[in-house]
Amino acid sequence: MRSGTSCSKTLIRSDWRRFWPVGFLYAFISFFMLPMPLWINRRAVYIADYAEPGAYGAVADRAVHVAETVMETIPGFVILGFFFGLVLAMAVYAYLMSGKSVGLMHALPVSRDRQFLSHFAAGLSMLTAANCLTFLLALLMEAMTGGAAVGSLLLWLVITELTGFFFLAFATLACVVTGWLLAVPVIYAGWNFMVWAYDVILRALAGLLYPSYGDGVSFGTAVDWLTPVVKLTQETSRRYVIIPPEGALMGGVSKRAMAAVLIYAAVGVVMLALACVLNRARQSETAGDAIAFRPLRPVARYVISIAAGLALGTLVYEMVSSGGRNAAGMIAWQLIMGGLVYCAVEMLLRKTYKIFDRRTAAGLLALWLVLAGTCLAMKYDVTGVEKRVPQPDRVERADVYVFAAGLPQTTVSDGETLQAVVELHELLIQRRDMEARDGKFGVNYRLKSGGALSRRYNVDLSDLEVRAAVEKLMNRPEIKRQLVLEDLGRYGEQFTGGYAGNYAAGKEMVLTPAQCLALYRAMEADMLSNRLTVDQRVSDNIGIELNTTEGTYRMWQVRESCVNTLAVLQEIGLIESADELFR
Amino acid sequence: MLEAKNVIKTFDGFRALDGAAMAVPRGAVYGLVGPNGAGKTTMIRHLTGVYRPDSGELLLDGEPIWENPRAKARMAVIPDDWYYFPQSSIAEMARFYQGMYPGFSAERYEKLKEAFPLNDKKPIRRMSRGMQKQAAFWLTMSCMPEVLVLDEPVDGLDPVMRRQVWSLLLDDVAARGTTVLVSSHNLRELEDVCDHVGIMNRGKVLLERSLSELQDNTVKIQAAYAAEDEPVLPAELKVLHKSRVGRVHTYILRGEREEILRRMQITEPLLLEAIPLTLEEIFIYEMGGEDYAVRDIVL
Repeated sequence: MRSGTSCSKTLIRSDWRRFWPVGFLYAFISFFMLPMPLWINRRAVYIADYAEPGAYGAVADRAVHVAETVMETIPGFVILGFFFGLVLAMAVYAYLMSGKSVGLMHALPVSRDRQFLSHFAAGLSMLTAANCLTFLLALLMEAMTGGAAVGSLLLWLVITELTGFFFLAFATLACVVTGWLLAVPVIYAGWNFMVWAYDVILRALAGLLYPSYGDGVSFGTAVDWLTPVVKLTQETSRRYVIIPPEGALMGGVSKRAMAAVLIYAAVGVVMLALACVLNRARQSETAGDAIAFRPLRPVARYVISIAAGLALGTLVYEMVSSGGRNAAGMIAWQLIMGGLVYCAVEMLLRKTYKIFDRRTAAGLLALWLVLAGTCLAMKYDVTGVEKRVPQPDRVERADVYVFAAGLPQTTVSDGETLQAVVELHELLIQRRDMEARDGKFGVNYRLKSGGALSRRYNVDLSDLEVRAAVEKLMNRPEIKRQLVLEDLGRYGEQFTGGYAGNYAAGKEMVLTPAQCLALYRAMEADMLSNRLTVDQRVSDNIGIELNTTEGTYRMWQVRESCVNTLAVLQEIGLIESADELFR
Repeated sequence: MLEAKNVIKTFDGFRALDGAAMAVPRGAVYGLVGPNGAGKTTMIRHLTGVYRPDSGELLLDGEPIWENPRAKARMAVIPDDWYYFPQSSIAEMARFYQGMYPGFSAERYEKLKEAFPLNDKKPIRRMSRGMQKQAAFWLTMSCMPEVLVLDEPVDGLDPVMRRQVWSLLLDDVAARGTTVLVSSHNLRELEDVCDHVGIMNRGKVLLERSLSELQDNTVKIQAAYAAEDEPVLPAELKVLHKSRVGRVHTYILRGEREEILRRMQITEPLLLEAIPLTLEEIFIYEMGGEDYAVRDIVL
């Protein structure tokens, strides 16, 4: 009798015999996702923007297309692995969910560890067999259609296999912590999207409770990593196809994507080990329980009811109050919705409707304290979120706007400009109770650490100090250049022609290279000589396109103070006078 | 020997086994009886390694059963709610058991075809409950276990098939020395096949003895008296139950038959007779002492 932790062939065979349709369905869908598109597009070739058709020979052109097609399918296979990891785990570990089946399996002369690993091996082997079949069929299609990209296909196999392994291990962990089959997808989806959901909920709440809160991603990187299906899909979308001069072809994903896949595969190994340990500790009699481990029950109870309380409570409040800002009303709805969900979860955990006792009352009280405490802490800014201003040297770049002052959203990265942004930001924090007479000042900082900070403040330009700070910002060369030249200056003066339109008068005209140059020089002179103020009028009735050897650049606004530009526009006959634009 | 030593198991605060101890001698047919909720099934699940005790020991010939494939390979179980893979036939389940139990005998499986008139290619889920029970016996007995654990084994079987199953089991006991632990409420049936009995109540094994010992140790006495008054019995007699019809008194007493008859003579009966007790009576009177008597209920 083998008593180690090697797999039991009988159990693997039994799983295959019973659950092969799941593996077949996975292979069937995979066929339509990879080999079939290769066959359907068998005559298509990829022509790179920078290469003439046939530059690498017809076979290489076809191979580029094949490699590109293979790489394109990877994010789709990540999502497929996400679903089938769950379905396979639910199939092979279904025996843990019923007292009858657990009675049979645990009475067998096979240790629990060995059973656990055998079932996992059965699930993984079904995924692997389907992946290998898809690989072979895709290879066949490639060979039949005259373009082989074996390297890309092997890379596809590795990534699909590793992500499939990760999701299978993830779902296995979900199966082990519950004794109720229907709870498995709920737990699996919860773990996959819980952090993302909390991020969305807290950001929405912050938007409501912090007057200045913008919509930036508060936990950016961590949220991405803790939402594996989204992270893996995003990362594996970063792909490339290399066509070296020698003609050898390689389709690939970015190093970051490959690192992400490997990291998640390693996490999958850890999850599998954890699931194995938990399975060993799991009591057979918990089959049928929503959560098989007592210490996890309060975690499930509070994580679900806090999220539901915050999300549903805020949603209902928004619906009944039509966008009101009464914190007391919002908290009341959160307490009601959180309490309802808490009771529902308690009923599921205890498997009875009779839950109304002192234990539930104490739990509800704790929940309500957390919910009310969270909202009040945000309302009164206990953590100082609204007063948080980053040091300029820690900012990589910032997107800033004050629409009412004629400052559209502009990206800045220069140290002194960032200093001006921060000064304006700090001033507006002091004027926190200012009315939004002139709309909002908005800033989205992208920090060097990878984080983000997003804020919006009311602006009243009749406040002289605020006005001065806004104008100081607008006259920073980095901003001014963008406002006047819209990046044109960076691309040189090799004009090939252009177009100008006066929408107010319904005039359009084609510009010669000389006119383009004259216009450019005038704009540059305006940029250097003008001091921009918040009172200057801006016309949106002008459209200018200047073609250079590097491409076409467009400008849609002209300011009243750009006298040189307006003079050239008048000279070339696009406008009669500046007044017609600023009426 | 299959043993449970001071086993305690609690489910959500309810103590299902409360220091239960029992020992099934090798080659015995041991009947585990007890009222509903006494803990029999829980005890069986511990003895087959399904449940892990909070404390105590479960042993097969001195080896722990929990997570011990070597010990489990010597045992086979037919639980009350026997599980089969829903889409499987008996033949497919036989292949599964063959892979799991090293002692599985294909030859025995073929021979037992004659005893169980079932189509082994038909899905088990399409069979009646009684046929499924037959399938369970067929497969389990093909594993050639040294220890066979049965929970309500003949529920759902017709009388002929019951006799057939018991006959096969007893043949195994005689031929191979198989140890059988059987839990059932059908005491008349157990009485015919068991040589040892354990009585459980409230998570404890109240008593366990060989059946003959048990029957010798509990005596049913019928005595008739001239006087209408109830006679005063000697204080040293342990009365489990008494009843009266006219001047005829019936007593269930614990103790040795001859000794009880001798002591009863002091009460000067007109007629004194010892009648053999059935297992069912022993169970009822023993449980009566445990506050589990049949009550006179007025509706």
